[in-house]
Amino acid sequence: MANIFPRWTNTLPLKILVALVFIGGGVAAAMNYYFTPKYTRVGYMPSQPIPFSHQIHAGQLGMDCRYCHSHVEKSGHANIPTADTCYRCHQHVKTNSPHIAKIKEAVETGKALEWVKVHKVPDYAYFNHSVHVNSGVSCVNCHGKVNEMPVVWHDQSQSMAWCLDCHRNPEKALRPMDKITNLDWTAESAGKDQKDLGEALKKAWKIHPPDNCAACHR
Amino acid sequence: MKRIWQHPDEKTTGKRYWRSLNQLAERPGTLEARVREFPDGVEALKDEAEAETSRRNFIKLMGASTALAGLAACRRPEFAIKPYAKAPEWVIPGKVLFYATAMPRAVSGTPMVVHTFEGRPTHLQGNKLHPDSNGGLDIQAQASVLNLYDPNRAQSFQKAGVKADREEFYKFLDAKKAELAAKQGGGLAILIDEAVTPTRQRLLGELVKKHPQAKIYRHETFGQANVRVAYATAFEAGAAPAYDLSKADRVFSLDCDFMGQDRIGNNATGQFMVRRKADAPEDGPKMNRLYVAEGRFTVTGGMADHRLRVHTSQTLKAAVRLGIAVAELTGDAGLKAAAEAVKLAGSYQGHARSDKADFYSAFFKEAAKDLVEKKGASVVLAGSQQDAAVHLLAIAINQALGAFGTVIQIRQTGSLVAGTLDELAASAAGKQIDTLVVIGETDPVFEAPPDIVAGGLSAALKAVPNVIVHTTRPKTITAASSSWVVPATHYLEQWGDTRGSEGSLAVVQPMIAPLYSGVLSDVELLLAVLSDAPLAGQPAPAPSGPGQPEDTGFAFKAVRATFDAIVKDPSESKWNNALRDGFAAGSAYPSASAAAASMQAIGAALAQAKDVDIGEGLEITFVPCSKIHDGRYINNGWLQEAPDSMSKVTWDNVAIVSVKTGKALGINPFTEDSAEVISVEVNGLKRYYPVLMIPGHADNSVTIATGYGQASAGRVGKGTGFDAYALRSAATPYFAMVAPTAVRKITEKVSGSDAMKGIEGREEIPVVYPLGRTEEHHTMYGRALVREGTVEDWQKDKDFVMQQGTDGHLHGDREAKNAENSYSFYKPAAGNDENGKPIELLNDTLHQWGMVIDLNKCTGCTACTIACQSENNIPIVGKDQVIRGREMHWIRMDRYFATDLDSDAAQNGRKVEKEAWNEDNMDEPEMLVQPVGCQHCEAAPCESVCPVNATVHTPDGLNSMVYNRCIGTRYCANNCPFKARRFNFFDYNKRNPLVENSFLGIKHNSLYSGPFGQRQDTELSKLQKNPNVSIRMRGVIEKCTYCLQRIESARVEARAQGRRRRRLETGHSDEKLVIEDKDIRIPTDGIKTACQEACPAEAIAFGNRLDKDSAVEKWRKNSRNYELLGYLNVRARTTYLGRIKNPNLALLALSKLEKEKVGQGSKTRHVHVQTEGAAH
Repeated sequence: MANIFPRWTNTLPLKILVALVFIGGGVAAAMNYYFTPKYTRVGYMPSQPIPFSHQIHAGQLGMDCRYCHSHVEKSGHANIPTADTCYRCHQHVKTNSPHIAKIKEAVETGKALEWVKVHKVPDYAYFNHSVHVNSGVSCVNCHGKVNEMPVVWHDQSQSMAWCLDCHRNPEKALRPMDKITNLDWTAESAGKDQKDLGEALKKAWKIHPPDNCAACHR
Repeated sequence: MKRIWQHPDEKTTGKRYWRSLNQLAERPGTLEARVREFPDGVEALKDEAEAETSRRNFIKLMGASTALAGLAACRRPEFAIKPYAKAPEWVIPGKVLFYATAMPRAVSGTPMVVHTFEGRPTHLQGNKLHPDSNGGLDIQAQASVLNLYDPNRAQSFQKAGVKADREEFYKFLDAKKAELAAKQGGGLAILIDEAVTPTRQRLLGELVKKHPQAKIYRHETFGQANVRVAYATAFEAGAAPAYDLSKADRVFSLDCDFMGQDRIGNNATGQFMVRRKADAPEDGPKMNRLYVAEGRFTVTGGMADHRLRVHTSQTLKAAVRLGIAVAELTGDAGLKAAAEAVKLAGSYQGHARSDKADFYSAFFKEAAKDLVEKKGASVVLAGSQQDAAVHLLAIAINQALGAFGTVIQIRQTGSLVAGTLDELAASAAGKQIDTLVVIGETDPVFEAPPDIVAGGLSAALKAVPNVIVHTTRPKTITAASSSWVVPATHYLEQWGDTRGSEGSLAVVQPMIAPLYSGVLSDVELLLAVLSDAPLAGQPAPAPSGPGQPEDTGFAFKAVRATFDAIVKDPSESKWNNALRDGFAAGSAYPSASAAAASMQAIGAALAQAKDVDIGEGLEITFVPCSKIHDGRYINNGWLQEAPDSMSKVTWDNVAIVSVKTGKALGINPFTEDSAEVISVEVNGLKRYYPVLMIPGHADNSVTIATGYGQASAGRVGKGTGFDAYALRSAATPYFAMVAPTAVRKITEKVSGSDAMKGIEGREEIPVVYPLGRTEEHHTMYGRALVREGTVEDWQKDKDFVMQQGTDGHLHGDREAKNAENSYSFYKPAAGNDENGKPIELLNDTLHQWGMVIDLNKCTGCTACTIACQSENNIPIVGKDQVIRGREMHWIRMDRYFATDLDSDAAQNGRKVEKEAWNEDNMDEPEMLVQPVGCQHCEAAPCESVCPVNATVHTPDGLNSMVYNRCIGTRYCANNCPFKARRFNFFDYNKRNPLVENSFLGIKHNSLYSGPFGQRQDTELSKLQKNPNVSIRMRGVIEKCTYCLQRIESARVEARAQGRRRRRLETGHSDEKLVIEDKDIRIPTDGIKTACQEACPAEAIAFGNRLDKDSAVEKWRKNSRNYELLGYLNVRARTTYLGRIKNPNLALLALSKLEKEKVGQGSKTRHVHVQTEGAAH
């Protein structure tokens, strides 16, 4: 009786196995890279209804973050400025721009401008800006150097692991409280070592960032 | 080695605490059912067909949903941020903003503080600053925020049932006004409810001045009509009592449920409970004493130190007895003459007592002696459903007791001349009315007794050409038969005003612009009727919402004008203060000019009083529902699903009878999720009600809560309950006297009866009607956890609570027992530190949270349950799911009855056989309540069994629930000894549990249709949700979090603002800035949980256990403090203070039965039941 399966099939199981290992490994590696916030979020840069440039306002003009994000020290939300806030200056500045016309329209009609959300914290996570900016954590730690961004992009992964990394080692991020909105400031630029400075601030200010679930999830 | 823990039996001290008749009778199978916390879903399916289709559906739907889920996950969703165009004043996005306002209602408006998020009202709390509030709220006020978001609310004008617009109505009104002006208002009638609204009252006064022929009528079924008549007779027109029960040492209630549905002010419970504060045994005798004479068990009756069963219809006789007894002791001839002037029909001796034949009369004598002893600090309260004669007697007795000027102040509330509904019905039938305007939340046609006028009110109103109904409920019978429906604003979206019971003016200010354009407030409607200028063709007035310039709304001006008229030297700053504080200082009602009641007038009026003999008959009493009141809240899901304080019935009303009467009717006492149905026939009308036996109810009496069984109640109230209004008569509106044969158990299902005609969702009534009743849900192996004693017991042994329950089984004093309890296998730790040493679990040195609940103050009103629901986004699940034991309330209110162990046939062991089941013992039980939520055990049994660490401890002592980790094994719920965990069997927040679907002809609840089920009206209900609490999804466990969101907000606030403040104070922003613990610690008692805030009795303390000044630490030092199931050594963070009763020793000496009834330790003989397997 002739063989039903030709001879080369003998190695087939092994080949399949090897192929599966490679495919599986590849999938795992791809998922590890592409399916994490580091890849899916960082660099996200949607175009906004008005091409507002932080580079000009916060960088060149040197406006403080809190001029527009006015409630950041009091509320969990760092509010997006009202159209009125923009218009206070722009009723005099660059009034011919079609984009300023949109702001004018919003102020006059009361209809909100729809900015596209860049940083999206899940519904079940409750992040609070005020406690961070009042405890020596700078805007730059989570948002990057926004003062150099013509269009805001997602700078850090903002995943839970990333949050916890800082909550467990806050000394990496702490800085004097008057340097919170100075995005160009670094410990090195002030001639200090970040770790030493962070440790000192952590101790003096009783910084014990919670790392239990209920701190952020409720 | 596996160790099986044998729970020790409770030490029995002569009393039995039980939650249901089933439990008392220890019927086979019931314990097993109780132990199964979650009745299994498939087994609970009603029949084979349902099971079959469900399985098939399930597989089909699973396939579809998986496919859909795969597709939906591909794209990154884009979200928009929409900032305000102009920043509204005070609003900080993400922060709660509090506004003071008030809820206009009868007797006294309820002052409130409203939580708003970006302009959305989400949660209500009382306004503590107002003189007539202690910051608590009753159940209905608490739930009223949900009515704002009711999708069935009136949204547009209707002309004869057809949608119309405001312009059309104004055209009609303009034409009508011209007619009215010509006739001086002849033919115009305005029917209002009893809500206290000064501006409305002022405008009505102006209207009558302008149109002298116009008539005002006033109606509220459970209103103050009888009180008004009595006080007008005894004092002067417009006189009304304002009570301060904190000044009363002795309170006698004649059928007055003043802690429940019979409101005498916002703060009656709070003031009463001030005198129930007991820190140490010495405080015991300083407590007040409450006597209650009532027919049905109410929450007030449950708080009574002595409760006497008196038929509602016979309360007048009880009042006469009390009056004569007081008169004999005080020698008050006027009172004696007044009491004796009443012509009594028949002699009434109350309920017979086996051990003391004349207990009934002796009770009044002893109570009178006690009242007279505390002359000047004792008071008699009469229920508002009692005839004016009872109120007159109460006034006369109070005068003899010197209560006026001390406990009661007589205020002049200003008299509005208004007719009654009876008079309106007569005028309408007599065709004297051309235009009737109905304002308020009542439904007069539904509520009116059918014999109010020949043919009933609906026929009478047919003779009125124009009926204009101003309401938020567009489908009431009154509205349905009207010519115009004017959609009304909710009180949270209007300008208005109201006054507390003592008169302090509270301004109602809008929290939100009206959700539906075109709605009018009552003030706006009256202004429209009053205005001379034509309304049609004018631009609509700007809605008077927040963010709008205030003076554009014309209601605003009217409210302001009233303010200026009431407040002395009005000014802009006083107005602004009133808006900020929620009340105008110095605006209390003036004292009445008559300082004392006229005994002569009382005597003369009492001589005309009508009394009814009960004889061998049966009384049917009609009472306001503890949830939906007179029916106005029928479409409020929170109230519908709140278990009734007494019967624990949700979604329905039932007839309630005593155990003896029930037995005489042949009712099976042992129904679980159902009840047998009786027919009640009054004046030839037959109605059907499921019937429940509640011990402690008067015999030969049937109590039916009204308001249910509305023809068209909206999506929530549809098909719920049974109407009782139809059985009422105009002569005796709150009770009906019938022959015993008029009430019968039905033996076959009823369909096609006129009792169900036109009622949506009610086609037939089965012999056994299914009931969503939570009485036996989440019971704990039948263990009773409630502990109580008398003042005497407490003084004898300050740690008497430790002698009861499972702790009573241990030996020695409190310390020894605690030491014995402190044995544990479980050493909780928060992992290891770098050196491998275990980290202590509770390592927060700033805060450790705890709660204490004082059972001495808790009435069982369930306001906490509703407050919790409102704060924590807890969904309703519908009747079908409640029957399956799946209600989601984080706080359950356990209601226990306590009966004497001796006479409940327990002398021959603890078993009570069904046959030997002794209903004699069910006559005079005590009632105790205990709210139970998650106890936040330090060594939590739930945490150790969770396979995915979804429930873990926080360093500050909370047992927290991580929804995203939860995979729904429900192990935690099974291992929770307190049964405090709830499982989301369905996506209750997303799917509508109130709809029946039909698939292949088989009816099933919409929840079971999975993704094909009906969605909630999410846009509207979303607006109520608290943005700081996650909405839980199907398949996860949830439970009390100690209001984690409030703790976290406070902690963030303390840290952020503490550091910020220190930085600004010191000028340092680097390491020279030193932060101390005190800078970042939450201030003492700085957080209130939602339940604590809502509690009108102030029975809950919550706070930081590391703060020695906190209320919770002080309360824990009270010797009444005990932990539930302390022997488990779970170290619960919630503890309880045992209940203390303050009985009259003279009454205890009088009757053995009374002695057994009151207080556990008052028994001399302690029955020790030998325990087996107790492992200590």
